[in-house]
Amino acid sequence: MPLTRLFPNLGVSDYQVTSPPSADYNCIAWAALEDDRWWWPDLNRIFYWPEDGPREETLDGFVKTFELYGYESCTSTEIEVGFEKVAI
Amino acid sequence: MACIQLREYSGQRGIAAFWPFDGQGLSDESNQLRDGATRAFIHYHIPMTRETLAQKFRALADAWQEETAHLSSPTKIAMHPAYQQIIGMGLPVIPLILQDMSKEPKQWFWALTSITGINPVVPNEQGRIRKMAAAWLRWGTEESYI
Repeated sequence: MPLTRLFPNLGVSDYQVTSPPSADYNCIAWAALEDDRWWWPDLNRIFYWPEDGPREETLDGFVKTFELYGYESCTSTEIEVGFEKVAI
Repeated sequence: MACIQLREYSGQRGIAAFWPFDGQGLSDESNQLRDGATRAFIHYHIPMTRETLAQKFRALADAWQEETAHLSSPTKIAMHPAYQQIIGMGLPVIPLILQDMSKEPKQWFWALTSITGINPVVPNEQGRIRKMAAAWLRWGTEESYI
């Protein structure tokens, strides 16, 4: 399915495809700098999730997990020099 | 306001989907309406009495893949109505799932675990799609499903 159909707002922005689709990882894994496995806090333990991270599909759970990797909550969504940000 | 319309009917696969497929931009109520209309359409055109298990599986699997391939949440992927129908088909659908997964690793893990009650993937291979698929295919061979 064309990207612009999946994400209509792409049509009004300047974008370029930087890599082909991959089934090897998902967005959370990518945000955690991994591109060879799926991360997800499912209770069935089908997917990878850090041992110390809460296995719960909540915003708080995702935030706590990323805090394990040195991230901390911030109030600004703007790009800031010297900081790497993830949007959850 | 979103408009629901019938997409071109694919006679080859015997399946139809309703626009927009991904539900983005629609309210929860509109999404429920869309899902219900899709289910009704599928039920009308693919009655169990006239479809083989393999045909029904293929139609549902194609619809599921079409509408979830871009998603990152395994929960959303597994909660798709077509995927849930496949889970509901029970053990007889296991060989079809494994056959499909042998061609290309897909997110069949939730369904396989739900149907069989087991998970043959070792902890250090959690999330590694190709290794997970290989583990399930080994299990399928050992259990004579394939």
